Amino acid sequence: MEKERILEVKDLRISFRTQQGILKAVRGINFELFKGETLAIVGESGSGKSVTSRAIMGISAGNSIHEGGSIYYYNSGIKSFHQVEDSEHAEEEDIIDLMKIDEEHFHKLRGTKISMIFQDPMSSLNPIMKIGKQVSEALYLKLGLSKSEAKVRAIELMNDVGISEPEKRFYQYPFQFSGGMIQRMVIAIALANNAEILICDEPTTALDVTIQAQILELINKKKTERNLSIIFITHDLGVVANMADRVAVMYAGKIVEVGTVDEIFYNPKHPYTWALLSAIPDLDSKETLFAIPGTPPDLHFPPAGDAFAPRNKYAMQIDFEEEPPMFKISETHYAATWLLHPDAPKVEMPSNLKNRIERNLKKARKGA
Amino acid sequence: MEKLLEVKHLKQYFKAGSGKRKLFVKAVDDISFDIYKGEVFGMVGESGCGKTTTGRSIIKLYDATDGEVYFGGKRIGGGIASMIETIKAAKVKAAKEIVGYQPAKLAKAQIIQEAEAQLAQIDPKDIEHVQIVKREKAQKMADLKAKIQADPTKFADNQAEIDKIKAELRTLINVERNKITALKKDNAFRGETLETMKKIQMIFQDPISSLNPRMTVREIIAEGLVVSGVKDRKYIDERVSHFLRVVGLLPEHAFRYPHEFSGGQRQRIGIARALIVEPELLIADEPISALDVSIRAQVINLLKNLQKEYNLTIMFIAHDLSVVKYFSDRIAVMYYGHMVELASSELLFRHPLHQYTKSLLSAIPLPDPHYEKTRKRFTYNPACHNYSATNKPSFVEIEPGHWIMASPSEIEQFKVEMAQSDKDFFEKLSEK
Amino acid sequence: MENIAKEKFILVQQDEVLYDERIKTKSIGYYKDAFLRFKKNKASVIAAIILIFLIIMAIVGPFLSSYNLFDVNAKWSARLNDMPPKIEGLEWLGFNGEKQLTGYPENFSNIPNGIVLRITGRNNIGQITVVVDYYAYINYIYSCEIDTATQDFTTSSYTNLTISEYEAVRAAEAATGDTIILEDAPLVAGSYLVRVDYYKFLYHIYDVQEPAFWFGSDPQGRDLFTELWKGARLSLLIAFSVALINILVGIIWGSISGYFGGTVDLVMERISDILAGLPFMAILTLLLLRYGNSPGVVIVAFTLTGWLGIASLTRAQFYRYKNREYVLAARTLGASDSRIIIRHIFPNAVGTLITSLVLYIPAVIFSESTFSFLGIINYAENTSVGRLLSTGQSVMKESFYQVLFPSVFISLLMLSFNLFGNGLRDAFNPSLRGVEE
Repeated sequence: MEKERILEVKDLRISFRTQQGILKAVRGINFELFKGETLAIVGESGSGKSVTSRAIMGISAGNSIHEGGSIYYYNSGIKSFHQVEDSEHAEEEDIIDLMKIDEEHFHKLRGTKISMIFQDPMSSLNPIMKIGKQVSEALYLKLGLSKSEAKVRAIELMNDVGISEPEKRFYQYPFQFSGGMIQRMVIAIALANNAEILICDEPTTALDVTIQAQILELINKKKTERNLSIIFITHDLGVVANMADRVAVMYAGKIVEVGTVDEIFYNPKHPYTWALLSAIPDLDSKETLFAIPGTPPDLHFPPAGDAFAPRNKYAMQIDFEEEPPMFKISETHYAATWLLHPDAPKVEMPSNLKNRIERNLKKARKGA
Repeated sequence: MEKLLEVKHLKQYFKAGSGKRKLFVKAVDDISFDIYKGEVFGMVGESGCGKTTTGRSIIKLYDATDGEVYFGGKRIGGGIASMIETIKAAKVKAAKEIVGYQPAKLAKAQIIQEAEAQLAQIDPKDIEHVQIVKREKAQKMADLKAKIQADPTKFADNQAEIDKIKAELRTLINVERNKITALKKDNAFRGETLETMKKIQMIFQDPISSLNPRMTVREIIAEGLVVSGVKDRKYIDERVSHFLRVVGLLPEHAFRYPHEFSGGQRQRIGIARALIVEPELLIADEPISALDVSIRAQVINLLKNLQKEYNLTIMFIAHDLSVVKYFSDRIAVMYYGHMVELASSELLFRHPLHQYTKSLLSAIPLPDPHYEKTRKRFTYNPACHNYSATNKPSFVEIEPGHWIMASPSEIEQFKVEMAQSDKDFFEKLSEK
Repeated sequence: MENIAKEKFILVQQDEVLYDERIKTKSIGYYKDAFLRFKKNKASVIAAIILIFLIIMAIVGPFLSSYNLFDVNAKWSARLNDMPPKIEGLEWLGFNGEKQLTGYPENFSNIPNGIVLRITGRNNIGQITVVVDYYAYINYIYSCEIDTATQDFTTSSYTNLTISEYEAVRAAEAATGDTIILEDAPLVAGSYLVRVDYYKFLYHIYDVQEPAFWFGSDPQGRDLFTELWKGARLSLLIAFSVALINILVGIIWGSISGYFGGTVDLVMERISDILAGLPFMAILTLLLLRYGNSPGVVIVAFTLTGWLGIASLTRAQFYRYKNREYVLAARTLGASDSRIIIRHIFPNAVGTLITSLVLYIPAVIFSESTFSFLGIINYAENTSVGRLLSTGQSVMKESFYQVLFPSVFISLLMLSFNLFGNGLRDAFNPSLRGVEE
């Protein structure tokens, strides 16, 4: 199937100035996002997944340094942006490097082309402003609708995301809404202007499982309805399994494994992915969990070789000396670990993970 | 099995507002359960269901409203609301009875009551009418007085009966008051209770706010020893290093401040702090929900090892059912202050009965794309129970070790369901 | 990729038990961290340096300038009133002892060369404005001023010496060979009306060096430099005592009320409310009227209700921290209330409290100076910056410097305290701590 690229991140490097020195948060990552797919970025806090998403939204923190790399947005429609000459796509007018355009232009993109929903629903809405006003404001500021038109559209949107009695809810304040409803509202606002890309930064972490399931269903529904491209950032692999078409696993500012959701979950290659997958028990697991020792590296002092090596039971000498390149496993599946080198010893994934995957595959076959 | 902790009809209400607008938030509303020695008791429910409050009431961070908590057979806390309620009811009842033995007072009260009833019906601005009623009342009063004077014996109080009632009331109040004093004594954070309370320790949810940012790790961990009066620095150092190692940290971490550690490390420091006083019961309040995925397994494995090594009993509070299932021997499901289901983890997953439990089970996200993408979700609607005055729910043991909050009609239905699912289960087994 | 040695592909730590890594960054305690943060704020650091300088000056300033003639002989000192500031070496900055005088040209015609420096203006009634070396001019006035009409020495040229002074002058002349008495006169009615070289007379008899008032002198001839630091010393003393007492009372009150909450809090809060209703002005005025104008009374007046703010701040801090999980953890370990207050809550609140203390001190100084400027506080024996300002204000037109120096001082003090306090507040701001990414 020919897929249309909508976003491409190329060798992106972002650092932060902190008291301890320079924190290398994102250390050269590459990925693409295709139209109508959900790309899940998995990683723990400090792995740089939020930093990446914020860079795409153009809302990096004040102490961030853009050290290099680009984020190309394959734009459909807006051709009025000036291109920066040194872009390798300079001649193609409708490709924008999001790291290079200025705030004024970015402002036009945000909300209309790229939208974002955040982890804490309560703090993404203004607590002293009526819900309806916050939705309709997004509409008349960006789309230039009149206030009455905006109200009608806002109520439509609220209805759309499954809020009962939107006419009544329109005049309520955020504190009168539950966490799940607020997250629905945030989604409504994010999608108010027909954005093409939706970045979800752990949108369900603060919610209960039952509410989480509802929100995920809502996002999936909107995705199919509008052919949205979604970047879904989370550390919950259960959610990833539910949402993602493709998965990128991040560790210490790098992507260590990327592949389709089935490849990552049924045929993981990187030890870190193994660890992530087996870190949480499923309903059938009885054995001791495979735990990764230690903690992620301090990115003020990025390690020389594979960042995961000090915590990796399967680390080799080379891991401490040289960064592993991306080894290709299939057309869509890549992993950065020396274990895939032809000279490396054959290492199997931990047995409890293997058992689980077999179990799951058996169930899947049975179901199908 | 030996019961380590017994919770009997625990209620924990929080006051909101004051005066006439006083409201009670029923965070925990009449729950009872036992925790056996050496087991892991899981407690699940969504946020705000009262699971954390239950843990905190047991360890007496809150003063329980009502009910009792026993640890190792000894009462360590409880609430006095029911006793106060009993006293109040008895007083009201006695007052009513006494009036029955005071004919004069009764007659007077009747007149006043009648007059008030009349006054309530007329407009207070209609002074003429009001005057008439008042005059009538005064007249009746005068008549009554004359009657009493004419026949004092007929209107005399039956003092003997009154004294009897009063004495009864007094003994009842005394009994209840003694109960309250005894409970307050048990409740107080000193003496024997204090020693017992040290055997219960808690691990908190938030690794950031559960460690004092102004104290070094050594001070944090040593706090339990220092508080119980240990002065020997060498001994403290030795214990601190020991427990740092037990939780997988290095002794040289002792002189660092909490903010220099990652979430998982902080959580382990919190565990070391709890372990140093050698507790028997560990209440782990969502110890992993604020941690990164790769770290969670560390903490779960650590808790599991500690449980075996120190023969700990753990009360594991979480909202993540898959972790609770993995970790716990028995699981209690809470919903809005009530315990709706309690069973061994195997039974609970084999045949979940309560609608809410079912909805929770169906919402667990699992790292299995095929399962996730074909999953059918089950939504819980509290209105689905046909509870009524005759069909009241209660917490009953529907099969050995399986408790459920259900009404009699539901129990019948559940029994059928259980038989069916058991049949399915054994069929599946025999297939294999 | 091909040329990687094969032996590097051997699992090296498969059987090892992996412990946590050592922390590589240096251990930074709370106060050190706050200090590092503070250091980054250049304005605050400068403010802190200025503050330290001002405080040191308030302590040693009054001893630097040894002029004390006012205390020894107010009569002779009064002749040196409203002298302009003069510092040797700093003439270019305006500390040149020059003063503008206005008069008819003939008034200045007899003045010897060198005293009148230049003519700066002329007004429409024929008067001229001249700049004079005022120190030399004063000596001329009190030694050998010649009346333009009579061409004789004016009365101001004569100095009325007591017998003891006269004898001392004669003795000094004999000892040093210096001429002090320019024109002798016989003893009349117990005193000698002679013409003396005024500065030489002051030098030999009252040990006054050639006068040079660094910040000028006030209408009584007191050295403004000394007076200013004396006033500063008093202001700071009052401010620090008030702040210390208020902090102490406020913290104890606030922590008890905040920690225990409930009924205790309710009762304590009502008491605070009643105290907060007392008007400060009334308290101050009544206390001063009843117990007299002394710094002690002022301190009492300031502390009577001043601790309320600190108490409510402390109370809020305690409410904020008392339900933190680490406090709960301490309770489950069996820590006593006092231990929780002192060890677990207070250290967390201390940053905010220090900041509020530092911002509270200038407020006290400012209101003390204001009341003393307005004359509500009027110390019998002490100078205060407020009083310097009010006296300076009355001669502001001729001697601008008399308001300038005290007001520069007070502004500098306010500004430094506030900048310093803001710097501290930012340094102690814990919002950035414990948060990753």
